[in-house]
Amino acid sequence: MAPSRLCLVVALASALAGCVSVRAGEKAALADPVMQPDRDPAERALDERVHACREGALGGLGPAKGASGCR
Amino acid sequence: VPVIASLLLALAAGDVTASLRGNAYGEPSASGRSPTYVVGPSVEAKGTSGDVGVSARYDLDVVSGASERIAHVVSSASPYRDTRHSAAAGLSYRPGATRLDLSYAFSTESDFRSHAVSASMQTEVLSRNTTLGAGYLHGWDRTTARLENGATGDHDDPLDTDSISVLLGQVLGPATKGELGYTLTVARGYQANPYRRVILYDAGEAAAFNERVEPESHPLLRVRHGVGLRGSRFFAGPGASIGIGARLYRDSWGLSSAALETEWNQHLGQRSSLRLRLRGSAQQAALFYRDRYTRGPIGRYFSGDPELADLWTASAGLKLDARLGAGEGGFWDRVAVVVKVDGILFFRDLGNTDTSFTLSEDPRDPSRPGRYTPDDGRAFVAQLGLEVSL
Repeated sequence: MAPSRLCLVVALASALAGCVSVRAGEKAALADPVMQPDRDPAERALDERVHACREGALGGLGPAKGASGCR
Repeated sequence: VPVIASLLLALAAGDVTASLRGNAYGEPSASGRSPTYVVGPSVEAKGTSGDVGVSARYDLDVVSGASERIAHVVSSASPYRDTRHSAAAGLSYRPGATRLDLSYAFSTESDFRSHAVSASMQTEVLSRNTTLGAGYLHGWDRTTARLENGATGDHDDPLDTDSISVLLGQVLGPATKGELGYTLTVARGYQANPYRRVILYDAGEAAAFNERVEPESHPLLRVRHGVGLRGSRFFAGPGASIGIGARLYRDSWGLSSAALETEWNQHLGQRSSLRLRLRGSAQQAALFYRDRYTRGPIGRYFSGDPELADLWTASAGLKLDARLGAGEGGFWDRVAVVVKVDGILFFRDLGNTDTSFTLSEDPRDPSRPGRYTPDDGRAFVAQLGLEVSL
C-alpha cells in the first residue's frame, strides 16, 4: 500500500472516529474480558513466534521484529 | 541486569501477578519432511504500584529436529538440537488516559544473539472513545555460525532492525470497537540462513549433470509494510463476543500476503471463558524464490527459505481460560488456568517440482535418495499455564 493511500485511509478513519461517541456509563460491554484481544501477552508472544517462523509476514498492529530460532 | 531488576521491582510492587506457561510446538513428519519439535517453559512476573508497572519475562525453547543442509533435499538433513533463551523487561507509566511503555528484550542461541529496545505510547481522546498509539523498536542481531565447510567461511554478521508503528482504535458503539494499525519495518544486514545451501542449475538439456550447490543469498535490505484491522462485538444474550481481524503485508523482496482471523469468545460462568479461533492466510513468494533454480538464480539472489515460498495455511484452535477467586482471607486474589491447543495445516506450492527427479550424480538411478517432495503438512501449538495474582 502506497504511503499516500495509507495516509488517506487513516485520515478518513480519524474523521469517522469523531462521529461516534459512547458515554462512559455505556462501556461495560467494551470492558468485558472477552472483548480484550490482547489480554494474554504470553499467548500472543507464542503465536507471533509460530507465525514468524512459518510465514514471511509480520507487523500490522504494533511494532514488529522478526523471530529468531527459526533455523 | 534490567530483567533481574524488573523482576525484583515487580515482586516488590503492590499488586503482583506471576505466571508459568508450558509451551509446545510440533511439526510431525509429513510428506517427507523431518519432524520438528519446540518445547519449553515461560515465566513472567508483573507488578503495579500506582501508575507504574514493571514486568519481567523469561522463555526457554528447546528445539529438536533435522536441518536440511540443502534446501528441499530431505536426504541431506542432519539431526539438530538447540536451546534458545530469551528474557525481557518492561516498564509502564499510566497517568490518566495515557500509557507509556519501555521494554528491553534479549535472546541467545548457539549461533544467534539479539537485543531489542522499544518504546510505545497510547492515549485515549474524544471522551475516551478514540485511541491513538505509536511505537518504535530497534533491534541489534548477530549471526555467529561456525561452518563445517571452511571454504565458505564462518559467519559473524550483524542485522539491524527498525520498526515504527501507528495505531488508531475507535469505539463504534456500546458493544463494538475496532482498530486499524500500520507497521513499517526496515531490516539491514545478513538475513539468510548460514547453513542452508541451494541447488542451482545451468540452463540446457544437460542441466541435471551440472548441478551447483551454493550458500543461499538474500538481499541485505528488506523494507516491510504490514496493515492490520481488527474489530470485535459483544453479545449480552449469550455472554460472548466475536472478533474479526485481517492483515495485509508486502515487502521489498516482492513477498505479499493476506491473513484473516476470526474468534468466538464464550463466557462460562462468571470468570471462565472458552475461545474458538479460526485463521487462514495466503502468501505470494518473494521475487527471487524458486523451488528449483533450473535456469540459475533470479538476478543476484537465491533462497531455499520456506518462509519465502508460496504458502497457504489454515488453523483452528480452542482455548480455555478458567479463573478461580480465593475469596476473603485467601493467600492469593486469583488463580487462573489456561489451556490452549491449535492445529495448523500448511501447503507450499511446489507446482514446478518434478517429484520423480533424483538428486544424485546420475538422476536416472532411482536407488539414490534425495527426491524433491511436496511440502505440506500439519503442525500443532499447545500451551498450559498457571497464573497467580497476589
